[in-house]
Amino acid sequence: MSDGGAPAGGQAGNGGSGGVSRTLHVPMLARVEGEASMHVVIYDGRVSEVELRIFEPPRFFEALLRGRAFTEPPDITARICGICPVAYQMSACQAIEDACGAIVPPPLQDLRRLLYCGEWIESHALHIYLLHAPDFLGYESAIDLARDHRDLVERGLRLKKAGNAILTVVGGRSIHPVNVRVGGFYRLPTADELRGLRATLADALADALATVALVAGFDFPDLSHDCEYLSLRPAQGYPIDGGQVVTGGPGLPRR
Amino acid sequence: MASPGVTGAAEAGEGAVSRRPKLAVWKFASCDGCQLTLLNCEDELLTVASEIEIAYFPEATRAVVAGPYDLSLVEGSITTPGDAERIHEVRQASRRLVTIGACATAGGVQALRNFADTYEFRSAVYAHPEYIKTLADSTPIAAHVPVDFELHGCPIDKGQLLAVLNAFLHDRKPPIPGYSVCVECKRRGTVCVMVAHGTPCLGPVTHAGCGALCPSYGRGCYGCFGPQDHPNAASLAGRLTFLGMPGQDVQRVFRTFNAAAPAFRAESERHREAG
Repeated sequence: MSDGGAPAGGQAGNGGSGGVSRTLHVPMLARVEGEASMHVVIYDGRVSEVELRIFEPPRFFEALLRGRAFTEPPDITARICGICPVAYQMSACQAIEDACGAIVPPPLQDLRRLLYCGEWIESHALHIYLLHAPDFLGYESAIDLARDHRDLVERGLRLKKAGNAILTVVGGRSIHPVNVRVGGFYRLPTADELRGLRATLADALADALATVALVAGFDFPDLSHDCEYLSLRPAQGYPIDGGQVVTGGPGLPRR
Repeated sequence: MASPGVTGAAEAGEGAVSRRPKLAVWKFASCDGCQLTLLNCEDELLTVASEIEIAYFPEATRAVVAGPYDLSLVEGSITTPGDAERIHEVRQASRRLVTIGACATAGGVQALRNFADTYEFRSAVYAHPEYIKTLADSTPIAAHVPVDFELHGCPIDKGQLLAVLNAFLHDRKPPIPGYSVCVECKRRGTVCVMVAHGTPCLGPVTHAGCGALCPSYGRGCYGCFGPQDHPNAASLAGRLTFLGMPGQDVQRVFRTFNAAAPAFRAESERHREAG
């Protein structure tokens, strides 16, 4: 297949100057969201060329949203990404509520935050255990990793499932939740449904702490970037679901 | 490379030649949600992986086992010249090919371009539209190559995916009913949102599979599983009109995630002038 393949390394002598150049070509980056290839040339031990080609096909969401009713963007934009649909649903809701001057009462904001946390738990467990840990620990995949460390992978899957349980109780389903609407939710979860999450989440806390201990021991490359960072900054807490836009350097106006 | 057949060989007994079926998962234009459904089988994933060799699945593994593959799951629609060629390579490498999700079976939400000017879309979104290679239409996989089974949904249902894998492993027909969401709604005991509350609902024309989720949350079905096997979309549209829905809205409810599915497309086109 033209688009599949493990990294292919090539080595070629450089006539004349005596330097050695090496190329590294990855035709399909694995265990990432989306589709891309990477081409790296190393000359005399230094990277001289990096080409990242993203061939994920465009889907034109900005264009196809025109002419839709204000009620529709939360469902439509969810389809931008099946791994983080809630991020798009929340952004779509907040944009429309902001435009209309609509205020979402604090209890509904809390429920939205709970839904969003469900997605974070699911998505981060997916990334840590199924997408990235195999690279840090030297395996092809989480399934490969499970042959030697089944407990570790099972912990990741358990944590991921706990996030999905929140998404299902609050959002109706974990991928493209059906319960999110501009202004709040179609139906509030019952007290019993929420209580049903308690035991799962108590176990997930222990799994999350074990995860911190695990990844703190990973060998991260010593790398720093000279770039400007962009984030939301809420009055308190993590920048998950709101706040002012702030940057880590000059250039962008504060809103 | 994944070490082949570790579990299978041990269980097959001495002398038996055991080979786990090889599974490949391919992505075209899509959101990743349907292939994520496989990784969302948290309780079943490691068992599935012991019965099936995951031979090609870039979202899950960097190992690539060469084809041919016993079963290919294909997510996404065809929207670029390169993908229109690649799907033929995928078909050639696959003994069985199953499409998963609204993009692969109907063109997905990106098929809304089929009703508009795609090149205007490209200019509206990108500062340098000339860099963007795209086809005028988003088309389902079956418009390009023969498909052995289509599993509907946006996203597909986890239980149905496991049922399809199981069926193809054992060479039998997947137990996926083609009736409407209404059947699931009745079974669930949900009061009909359209009859009781006048809430517009696509349940009568939509393929079952989600478990009738939306009505259980007090909203109408929005058709994310696409048309059921024998939809009477014209009759439902008449009911929506009777409930007071303007023609342009009737057109729009049929134009979401399965807009290019023939039954939904035809009904939406009947309401073209109504708005």
